[in-house]
Amino acid sequence: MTRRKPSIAWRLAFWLTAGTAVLWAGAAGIALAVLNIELTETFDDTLRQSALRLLPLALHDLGEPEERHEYRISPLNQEDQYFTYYVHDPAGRPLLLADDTPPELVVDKVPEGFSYINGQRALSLTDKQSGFGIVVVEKSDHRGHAIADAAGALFWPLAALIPLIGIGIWAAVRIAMRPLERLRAEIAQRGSHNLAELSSAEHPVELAPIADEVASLLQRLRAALDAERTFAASSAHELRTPIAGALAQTQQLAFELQNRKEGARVREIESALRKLSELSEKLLQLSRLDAGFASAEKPGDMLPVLKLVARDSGSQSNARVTLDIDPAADLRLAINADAFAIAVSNLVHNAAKHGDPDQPIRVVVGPGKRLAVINAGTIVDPQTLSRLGQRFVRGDTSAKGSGLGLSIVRAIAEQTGGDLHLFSPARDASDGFESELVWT
Amino acid sequence: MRVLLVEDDHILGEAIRDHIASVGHSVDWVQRLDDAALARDTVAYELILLDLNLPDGRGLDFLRRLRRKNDPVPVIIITAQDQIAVRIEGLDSGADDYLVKPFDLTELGARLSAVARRYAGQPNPEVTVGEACIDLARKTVNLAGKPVELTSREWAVLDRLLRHRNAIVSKADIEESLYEFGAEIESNAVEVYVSRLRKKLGRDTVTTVRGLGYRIGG
Repeated sequence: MTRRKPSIAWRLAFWLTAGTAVLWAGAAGIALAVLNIELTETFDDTLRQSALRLLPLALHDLGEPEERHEYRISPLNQEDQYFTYYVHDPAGRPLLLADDTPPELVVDKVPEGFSYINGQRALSLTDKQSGFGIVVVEKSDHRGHAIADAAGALFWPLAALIPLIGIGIWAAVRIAMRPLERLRAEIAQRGSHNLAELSSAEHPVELAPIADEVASLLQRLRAALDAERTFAASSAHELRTPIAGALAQTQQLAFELQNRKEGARVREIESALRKLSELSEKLLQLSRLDAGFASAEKPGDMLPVLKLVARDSGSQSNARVTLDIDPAADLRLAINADAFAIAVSNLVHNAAKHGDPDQPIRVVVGPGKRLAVINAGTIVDPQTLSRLGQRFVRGDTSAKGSGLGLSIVRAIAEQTGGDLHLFSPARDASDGFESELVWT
Repeated sequence: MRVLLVEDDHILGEAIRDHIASVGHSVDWVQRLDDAALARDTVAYELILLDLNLPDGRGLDFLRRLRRKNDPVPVIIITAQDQIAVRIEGLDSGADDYLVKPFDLTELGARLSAVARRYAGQPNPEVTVGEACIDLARKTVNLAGKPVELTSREWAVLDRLLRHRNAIVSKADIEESLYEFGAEIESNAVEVYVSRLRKKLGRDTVTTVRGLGYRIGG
């Protein structure tokens, strides 16, 4: 299983969202800490104010010291009271306490000031003149609840908003990365068969240097490939004349010596020269193909080229070629005319070399972007058929070929968005061979 | 048929010249365009074999100049350039055919004959004269079912007469097709070859039109 490549957009969105969440949580935490301090001060102040007001009233109500004994006071209503209190004598004995005071909160010797009794916040104040004191105790955790409510108010919106923020960041990143996506898609379309210039769309300042560098690289690559193609074409041109001279001289010598025994040897030399000529031609065609010359930027009508090449190839192969053009044929193809000519001539030469010499070679065009070259002759076995089209693979026939013709045609098809299909017997016959080129 | 060969490669030019001569045509070979222009102005060639890249210019420019002067001489381009664009440019410039090097000499001979026949209004290579069946493409003659051997010069005379079938061909015209530049012309050469043709193909095959020339009929 291949591991999915990381996405910059995903990483940006993830880390920006995570960063926002962490910063927000941190800010909320600080706010909560401050709020906790403020609430503690407020609640403590409430306890102090209550104690300061209740103690004089309680001392007054309790009367003279000898009359003092324990009283219990009922609350004014039954609603939850946040705190309770009790008044004690100098010995710490409770004299006055609220009726709803839980017994566990009434303890001896509560330290002066704020403290905790059984986990509850308490304030103990003592009148210095009489020695009587009051203890005010929070009897519920409403202080904790207030803090928790505040924390909830701070954190719950964060939890709800983080996914929305994440979606927003993701959308913003995608929008911001559109120029990068466009550039990436444009570069992805480039390859050895497509080195067209990048579109002149304005790139953002961050991408402009990359686009410029890629454009420069493409230009250098184009120049290098053009030089390679020109070299291959020039080599072909320069090689053809001396080979043609040697072949023509040998043929003429063979013609002059046709009835003498030396003639046979000259014909062997002629045959070797033909092979050399064919092989060098095919290798140069491969060299041009390897430089990616087959595709064209704009589609052109290949029908006139086909007519020209079919006639010439048939004449050179000493074969009769019939051309059958379907009315629905469409040979407007984005292919270099020379590459198309090479493909057709290779198919016709292949058919002439391996087919029945007494039967014509049929070139069928259409319907659509389809071209088939069909010859009569022996059937190629399926195993050999599956290997034809690979470099230096030959069929099991008596005719000698370079084993490169069909591989050149296949390479041309692949470079121009087409396919080469091979059939034996031909689809509309009981024997022979059919090679079909189909473009989408 | 008298052919002008314009080819700067010595080895190839020599082989083509010898082959064309050996199949019964007379051929003049030049290696530069200015020589070709001079030769064309001097001799009424029936076909030109033209290379495209020559030391003093492009063959296509020479061809365009010929066509601008309404010169109808058939031209076959022989070149090492196989690009379709160059091929189409050549044909558009007025070439009658196009052969990419290296080519088979028999292929060249066939193209040469086909173009010549087309110009003579005789697209069918097989013609019958009296009892003789002549295949101009294969250079064979059968008389009453038996093959007849003709020499290259006999072929040249027969070819010239058949090209203007039923018309009078002057002795000078026949001489033109017989000899290459620099070759010695014997005063009675035409009479000798016509006489040989009559012996091989039948007495009535070629008719003498006194004071004007010769004619071959149907």
